[in-house]
Parts: sequence; structure tokens; C-alpha cells
Amino acid sequence: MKIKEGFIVRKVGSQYVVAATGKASRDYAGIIRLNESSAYAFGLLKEDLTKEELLSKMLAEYDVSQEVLSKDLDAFLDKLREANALV
Amino acid sequence: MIRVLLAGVPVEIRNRYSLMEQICIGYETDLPPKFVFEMTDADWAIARSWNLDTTDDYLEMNYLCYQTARILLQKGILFLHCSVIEVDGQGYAFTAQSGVGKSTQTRLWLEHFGNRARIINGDKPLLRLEDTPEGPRMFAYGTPWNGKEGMGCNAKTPLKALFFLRRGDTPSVSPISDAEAIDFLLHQFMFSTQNTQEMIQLFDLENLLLEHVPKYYLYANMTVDSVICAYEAANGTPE
Repeated sequence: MKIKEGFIVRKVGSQYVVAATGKASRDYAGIIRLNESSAYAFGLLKEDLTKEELLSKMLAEYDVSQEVLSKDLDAFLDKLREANALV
Repeated sequence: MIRVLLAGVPVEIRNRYSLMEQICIGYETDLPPKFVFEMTDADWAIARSWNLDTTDDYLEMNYLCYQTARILLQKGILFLHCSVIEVDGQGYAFTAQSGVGKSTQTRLWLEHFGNRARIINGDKPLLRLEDTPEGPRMFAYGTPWNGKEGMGCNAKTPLKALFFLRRGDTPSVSPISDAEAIDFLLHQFMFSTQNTQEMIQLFDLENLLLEHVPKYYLYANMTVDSVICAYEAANGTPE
């Protein structure tokens, strides 16, 4: 899976904001706010990755247990799916 | 056709209805335009699809504002749906869902501060970050689009505070998080998600707004106590 073309992420204050632009905005009109680690995961997903690959890249960057991170990633990926942000 | 200066940028507006020229009085310029705004047939089709229950002259006025907003984003200039009042050379912005009482607060500030205060814009000022001797500050500029009451002037003021207005029985001020402010402000900007670069500009300007202007929730009632409460939050309580 990877981020669909047209989705952008920008830092706004302490938050990271994701929005659909161009053709992608036909399917999603809102914004998603992400924390820093989720924004990092969002950046990684510019490449096509499986969840396992994403997990191992995140574990290399963040000092957190695999169990906790896996749960966080599931919630993050659900958010992206709801926004039609993944292909 | 009229040439006006918007937040320091000269533009030409090719209007069909005289209303547009009327609201532009006081903003005229002789400078050569950087941008030309005109509603094409395609623009009229979009404007009509908004289903605003309004006459064509008002539709043109609103659509040209939207068109202007999208182009000025490229210049780092941002329309924000809010009212801005200036007191002693410092600007105070109020944003709210419609009906919460922006114009009431504005009127209360004018009454309280008298000739120390003036309204910069009652509805849609332009915001632009500019250098000053004290460092960069976010300025609010008056625009021809100043709301139903037509309150505003062709002037600019550095923003001292941005208040997110809510109704409250007892006036109070409390912090608003970046997350809450972002969710709220999304509905107070004008943009089109069609253009990726425009959206990037929008968020980058919003980032500058949050960085350079202190923001607060203001729970306000219809008395002068709300004015004092907000003013002291932004300036400190007098000894």
C-alpha cells in the first residue's frame, strides 16, 4: 500500500495536517491531523510498503515496543483508509 | 472595470455589475495590475452551483472574492473570515461561526475604546506576514469585502490576538490548542482543493498565523465586560 497521489501533509503549528488535493479531493473533502510519528509514517508510505515493512522502518526510528507501535499503526492506517488515502 | 490595491497587490477587476465597483471605493490604485479578475462563463456556472439564494450582483461580489483569495494565496496572502478592530495601533481579530456575535463584539469594542479604536474590516480582511523593526508580524489589511454592515477601511494593522468567539454567560478567556484552532479555521478560509500548490500555500500560511498571533477562546456575552476580559488577556491585567 501507498499514499494516493494528491494527498499532501504539512506541518501547521504543533500538528501535521493531511488533505486531499486535485483528483483525490473528489473522494475526500476533510483534513486528517497527525502527530509527528504518524506524519513520519505518512512520509514513508510515499513508497509502496506492506504493514510489516512499515512497522520495521518505524521501529528503526522510534524507541517503542513492537506491540504498541503495531496497534498505533493500525489506527493510523484505518484513518487513511477512511479518507480513501491509500492505494 | 476597476483597479484596486489589495494587501499591497495591485489587481484589475473586470466586473459586470456596479456593486463590485461600489464596494471598491477607497481601494483604487494607478499601479499596473499584477492580476486580472473576471468571471468567465465557467466561473458563472460554478458560482450558480453554490446555490446561494442571492442576486447576480452579490454572486459576482462573492465569487470575485473567492477568485481573489485563491490567487493571492500564491503571493503569501490569506483571506480569513473574521472581523478585525484596531485599538492604539494594535489589531484584534475575532472569528466565529455566523450568528455567534462578531459584529456585536466589534460594536462593543468601538463603544468602549471610543476614538482609540477603528474597524479595519468586519468580515474578510487579508492577512500577510511583514517585517517590522521588532521582527516579523502578521498584518491584517482592510478589503472591499467587509460584510453586511460595510464596516472597514483601507488600512492595515499588526495582529496582537486572534479570538475564537463563543457565547458565555460570564466573560472568560481560555487557551485554544493548535488542533482545535486548525479544525475551526478550515471553515474560515477560502480555497479550492483542486490545486495542490494552493493547498500547500494555505497550510503554510496557517502555520505562520499560528506561529505569529497568540490565540484564545473568548467566551463573551453582550456587555463591555467581554471587551475588558479579552483586551486584558492580550495585553496583561493593569496594576
